[in-house]
Amino acid sequence: MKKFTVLSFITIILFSASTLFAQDKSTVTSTAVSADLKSMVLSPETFQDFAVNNVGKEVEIKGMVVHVCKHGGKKLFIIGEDPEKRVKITTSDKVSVFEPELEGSTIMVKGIIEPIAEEELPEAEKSNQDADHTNYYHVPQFSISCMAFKTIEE
Amino acid sequence: MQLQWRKWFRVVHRDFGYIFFGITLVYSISGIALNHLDDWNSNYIIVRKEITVKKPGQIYPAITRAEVKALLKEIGEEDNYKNHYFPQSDQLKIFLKGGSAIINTETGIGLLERTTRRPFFREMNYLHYNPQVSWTWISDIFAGALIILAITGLFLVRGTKGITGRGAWLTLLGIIIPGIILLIFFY
Repeated sequence: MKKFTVLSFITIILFSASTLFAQDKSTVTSTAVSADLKSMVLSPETFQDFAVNNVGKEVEIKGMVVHVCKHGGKKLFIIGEDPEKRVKITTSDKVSVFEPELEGSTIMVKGIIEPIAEEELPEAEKSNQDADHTNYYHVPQFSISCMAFKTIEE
Repeated sequence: MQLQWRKWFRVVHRDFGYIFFGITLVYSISGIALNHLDDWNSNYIIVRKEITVKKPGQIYPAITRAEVKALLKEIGEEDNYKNHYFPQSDQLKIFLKGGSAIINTETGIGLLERTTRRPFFREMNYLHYNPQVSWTWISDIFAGALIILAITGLFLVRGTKGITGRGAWLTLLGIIIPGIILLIFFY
């Protein structure tokens, strides 16, 4: 009887957990494929100008992934035709991590425009900045918090 | 009937200790790893190797995929080609399956970077970063359980080694240490 009770308890926990996780997955998938959300498709070249007056809006943007942060996979950068115009994409509660395998792939991102708070670095550290992590090339002021993305071309 | 609170504290402390053993290890191991992220990449193993190819010369701003693959053939990576672009006029970055290469087009010297996932730590870190709403619930429950574990832990032992004796001093020490850090760095 005791064993039966313990086994039943474990079964209930596992079942509840699997249901909970399954719900999460379906939420993300439906976000990724929903077509009725009204959002604008931008290019990395036009993004910064557009973002100035559109913080908080949902947009779609397409570009090639040129860098994924390999410390935690919490951000990536995409470019279009002009490699100088990089756009920072960050994770959110909908997309938790970016895999480094995305580098070199063309992706379509759906997300919310956010302002970037520039980090105040000590003068001595400025020369050591890694371009991939600090956007040394052009210092953008806005990024996109990724709600969903899909790979268009591997 | 008098409530035997100390007995219940012991039972709760014991069983919570068992239940949350695994998740405690998840957060403590990944906590150490993430604390030292600048010194050691606990998510990926990155191996870099210097490479030299035949000087590509004036190929900026355009180079065909076939030409890039020809360059990669020199280092045995032609089958891993994914994509490429020019970060700067004299730099060609080539994305490969499992890594990338960056080549100075004027000298032919470059760097090949191979990235592989670091097992175990990567999974721990993934959980530490609160990947899903469901995990936020679990980690909230864990946080609550830690509070209960801490409180019940105070009253497990009676006598001179308990909270009225040595336990009081050790508890005080554990409060003073973060207090000192706050005084020095926060206020």
